[in-house]
Amino acid sequence: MRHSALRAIARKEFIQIRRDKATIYMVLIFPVMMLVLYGFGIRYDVTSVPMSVFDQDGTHHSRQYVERFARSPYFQVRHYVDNYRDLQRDINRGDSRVGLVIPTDFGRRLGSRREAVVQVIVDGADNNTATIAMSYVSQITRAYSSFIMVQQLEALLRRTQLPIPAVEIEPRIWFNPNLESVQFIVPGIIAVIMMMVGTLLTAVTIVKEKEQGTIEQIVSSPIGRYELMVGKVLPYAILAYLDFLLIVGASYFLFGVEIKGSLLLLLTTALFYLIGVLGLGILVSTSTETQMAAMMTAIFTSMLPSILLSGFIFPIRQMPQVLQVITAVVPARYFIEILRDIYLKGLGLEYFWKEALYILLFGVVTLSLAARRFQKRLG
Amino acid sequence: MTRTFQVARKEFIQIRRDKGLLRMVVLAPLLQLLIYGYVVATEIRELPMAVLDQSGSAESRRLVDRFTASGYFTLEEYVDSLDGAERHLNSGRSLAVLVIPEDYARNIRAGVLAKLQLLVDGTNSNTATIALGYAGGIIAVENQEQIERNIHRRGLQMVEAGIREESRVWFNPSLRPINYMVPGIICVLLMETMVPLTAFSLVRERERGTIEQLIVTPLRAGELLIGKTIPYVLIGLADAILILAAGTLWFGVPAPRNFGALFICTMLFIVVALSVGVLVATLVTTQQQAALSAQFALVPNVLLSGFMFPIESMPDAMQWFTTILPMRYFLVIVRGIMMKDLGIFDLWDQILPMALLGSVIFTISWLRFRRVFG
Repeated sequence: MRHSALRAIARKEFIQIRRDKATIYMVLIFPVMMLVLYGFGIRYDVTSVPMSVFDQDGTHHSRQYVERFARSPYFQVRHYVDNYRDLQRDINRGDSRVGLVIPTDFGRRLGSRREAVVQVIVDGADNNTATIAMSYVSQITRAYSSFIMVQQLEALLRRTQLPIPAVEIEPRIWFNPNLESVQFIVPGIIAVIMMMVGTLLTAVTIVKEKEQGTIEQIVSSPIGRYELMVGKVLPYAILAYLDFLLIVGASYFLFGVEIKGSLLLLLTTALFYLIGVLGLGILVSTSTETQMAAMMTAIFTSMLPSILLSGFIFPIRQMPQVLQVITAVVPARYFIEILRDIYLKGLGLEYFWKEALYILLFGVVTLSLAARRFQKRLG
Repeated sequence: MTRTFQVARKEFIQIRRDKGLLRMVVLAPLLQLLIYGYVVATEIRELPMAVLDQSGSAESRRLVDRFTASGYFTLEEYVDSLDGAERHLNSGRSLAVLVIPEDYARNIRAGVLAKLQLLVDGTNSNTATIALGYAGGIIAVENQEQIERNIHRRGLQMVEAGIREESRVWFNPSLRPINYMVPGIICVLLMETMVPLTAFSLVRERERGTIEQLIVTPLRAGELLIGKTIPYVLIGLADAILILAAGTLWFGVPAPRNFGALFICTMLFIVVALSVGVLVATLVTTQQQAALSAQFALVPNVLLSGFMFPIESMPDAMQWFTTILPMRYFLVIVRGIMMKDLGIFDLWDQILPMALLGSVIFTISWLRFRRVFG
């Protein structure tokens, strides 16, 4: 490999990037936008489920019961309706996801120590929210039931000194004691952004030379194919790594996300991952002829798996077996695992050397595969 | 009119020649259906748990049974020291460790408060929150039974008061995840293909310089725009139909009854998505920039539109922000038509803002298009 040729290609690519202010801005702004959106915008837990209440009873008991829903962070009572049709309309239009119907005899039955039945209508369209909302309803109902029971038994219980509750559980949360989602999301954002710059942009820039026919000029010059490949890729490799450092810095300074483990290990594994990401980018470029096709291929074969099949947001453990097997080849999965070990758990190499080895292996294999195809395709 | 068709024909020929693109146009919807259908909608269950049982009694074993029988936790292993518990959490083999202290059974039998400890891996804040909720529910049931037992043991009479709830699940009574995902995937896919493809097809002419040739022909700006976008409208529609077909035939999602409403609203949304694509095309000069800017438009639409995460649970500022996302309205519309059998008149409060938003985006992009490509 001749250095002068390599330098010339890399320089040309650098000049092109530098002229292209828009790309630079976007590459720098995008990670920060992702951090803000994922860190602040999205709540992974279901809260403030909108509900409508049709209280036919209107007694002290029913108001107390509804009050429990209104005070709970899990629900927000949007409407108090006075007929069944309005309740139905609220749920149909999606204004409310839960409808609570309290019958006329609610207070009377509770007062006379009999069981009262309430009707809960749940919009099951979003099955996940529906399931969670139903369990919230049960929790609140059970708590209110016990409250009534304890109230009625109070004198008795005081006399006998029975403990309420009988069992108490004390949670201790490790690694991320305040359960901040930013802490959890930073590793995934690093993996996805590096993929975006290293695979998507790299593939598009190489294919651009093919599409515009300029690659023939380069190939017919004394520049060798390896030099062409490395020279084209190098600027994006640097850009991707800079983006990685930017996210590490921004998450520390803007969100206070600290690295508990070794910074050196973090920097090294990111380098391993970078190799594979670039390899994928070159592979995509060798199997497509237009920038449009390159973009679509990169998005659907590299970006999407890194977002959805990597454990970034959705835990791998919960996926069906077949998909779990597929995730085994997604490099982002291992990278994210390592990053979480370093970032949140402060663990050392003895816990993740296998994953690190896999990422390195993946990088070497894809890059050499890509290099071979690159040579053949242009020869 | 003929000129418009000629532009469309040229675009079609270019698409047909591009094997790599055609492959993705067919594969993308199916990939999305498989991944989203199975990944996003899964309920969090069977969380691996280790137990440090220092009590070793019938009572403690009954408690562990209660955790595993709930289906929310699976027993990974019994560990015999806190070190073992730490190893489990560090290596990620278990997400939680239940620590039952030595005096647990003694306290239960004596009828005094028995304490437990639950160590939870907080790395995934979402899973951890849910796990805590599950554990709380399990303990609540245990508590209720303990209290009843204590009362009985002292020869006292329980009172049968309490509230029972009767739940009715509407629209998706079996709570099947895929029924909810398919309408969402249609929206996401339309957005993910229409925006970048239109942007690319327009920017390509600019990047290659062929736009000047088009400008010197008698072709008017409107004809150019319509001709260039028609093929992508058809691709979008074909992809939507592909998902609908695969969803109903393969995954058994109930077919929408109100096809007319679905078609009209989908066409409206396609126009909106195309306008976003055209806007992107007028803002950038190279396809590489178009690829990046399309991501800028796509990511908020996919994440914040209510596709994966309910809008009501977001912070207020974000909820306000979502009102400018066209996909937010289209999601409610498609889900309403497919899952709730709603018609156009039931959904006017979603269609109207989407149309309004669409006309604003369309006007801006058309004005810019005339300047840049005219």
